Amino acid sequence: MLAALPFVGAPPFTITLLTEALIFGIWAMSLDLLVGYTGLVTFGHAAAFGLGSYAAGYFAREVTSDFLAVLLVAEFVVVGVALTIGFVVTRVSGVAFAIISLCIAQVLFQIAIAWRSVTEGMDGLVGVPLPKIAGVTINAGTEFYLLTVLTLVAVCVGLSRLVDSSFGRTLQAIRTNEDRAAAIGINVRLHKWLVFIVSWAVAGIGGTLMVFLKAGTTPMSLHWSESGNVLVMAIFGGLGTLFGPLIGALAFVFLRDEFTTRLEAWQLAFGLVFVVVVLAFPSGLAGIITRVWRSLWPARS
Amino acid sequence: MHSLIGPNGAGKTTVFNCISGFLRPAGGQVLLNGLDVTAWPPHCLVPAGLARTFQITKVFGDLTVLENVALAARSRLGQNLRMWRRARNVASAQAEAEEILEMLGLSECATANADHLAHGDKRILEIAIALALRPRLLMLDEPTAGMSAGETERIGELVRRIAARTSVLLVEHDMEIVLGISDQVTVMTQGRVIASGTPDAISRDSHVQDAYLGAIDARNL
Repeated sequence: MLAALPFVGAPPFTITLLTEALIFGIWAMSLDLLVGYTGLVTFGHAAAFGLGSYAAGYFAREVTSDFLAVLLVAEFVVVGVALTIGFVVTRVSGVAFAIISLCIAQVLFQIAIAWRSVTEGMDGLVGVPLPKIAGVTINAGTEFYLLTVLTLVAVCVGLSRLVDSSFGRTLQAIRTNEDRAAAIGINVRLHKWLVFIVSWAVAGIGGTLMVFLKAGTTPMSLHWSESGNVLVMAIFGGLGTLFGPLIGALAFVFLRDEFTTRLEAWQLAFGLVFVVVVLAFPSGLAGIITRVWRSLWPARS
Repeated sequence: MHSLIGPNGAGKTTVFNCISGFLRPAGGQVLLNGLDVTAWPPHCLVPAGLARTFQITKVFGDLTVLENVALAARSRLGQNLRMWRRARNVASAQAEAEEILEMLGLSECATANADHLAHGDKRILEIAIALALRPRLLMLDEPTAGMSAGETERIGELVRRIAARTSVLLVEHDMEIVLGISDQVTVMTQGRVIASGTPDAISRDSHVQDAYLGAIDARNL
């Protein structure tokens, strides 16, 4: 259905906006693994996304813009960093985890500003070429949108299997009660470390797509306010529901677009909508959808 | 079956936590089947054959009753790190979990969220989770805490059945239950062991009567 949109006359601007929203959706779903499923609240998830963007953008510009090669390199960098950072930060939980992950993201933000020979400082990385697949250039607009949808589908399939697997269930056990989880033989630290790496890897896929969409990136992609935005998308959509955060990202991008074009004080209106939805429906937009669905088609038993 | 009893604050749960890896003992050794497991983390003790329950109920509230037990079974089967295969398709774990629930009389609420169980059923679910780990030593921390007389009897009967097949270390402050079903009893007060022996010997021991029963009287006044 998503894939057909460009062919039923959706305007190019909408397609670009939709592409952006779907990429944010990948990112928000990766955050849900940490926050919603494992109970690890982080204020530094921009680090994974921004790092992916920088690694992908730099490699695409300097070496080759072959999409799969770029994705591989970006993943190599993101997973490598997640391995080390994750090993340290997953030793703590709760507020300490939230704050340390925030600090690490801010360190990456500062590095992006200071390491000018690679990142070009505050100006950011520019001139990232269009991606290629098997030598064929993927043009901006419809073609890139389809590439994004394809990637999104792969991510959705992978993640929905993951959260439903033994591993996914152990994450939920850890969220509910760490002591109990340890007492049934779950290595809590190892699980947190692994889910941190997986979450970063998925966010890195989003970052790679985004750098191609925008043909570049800036240090702002690593800023804490971005980490805040992705948390808003995930909470807005519904934590612990996997697809909720995807819906949350779509709502976030389109509402923000509506509000910024129509209102001066758009952030105020935007904040109000967010507060109302979260107060009325703690399980977010996904909660609203399930409720409506259930009332239309009551469960048969 | 070995029971550890003593008045509140005697240090029973502390001993329990030292053995099960939740606290690091300041001195001494913990041996499990001749293996030195002192200060091993809890998750390593499970494959070594040890399972425990908690005095304050800690079931996985937002998962179903069946899933609570299946989680433990999959953990024992070494399935924890499988990221692709669906959890419910690990048939052996599902079957085992159903079997345990059947045995403990919890089958009817298998699909309910563990949070929705009555207190007594949650206590039994605690034991069900531990049983799915197929322990060689099952450690029960006050399984009758906060239960009515009728429920206490139900748990007592259950513990007796389990003890017929598995070594059980039972922590209780209710002396009557313990004396009825234990092979060996150790009595603690104020962090020290004051007596250890058969239930008969313990009930006749004058130190126990002074210290333990005295403490109970003091508490009841």
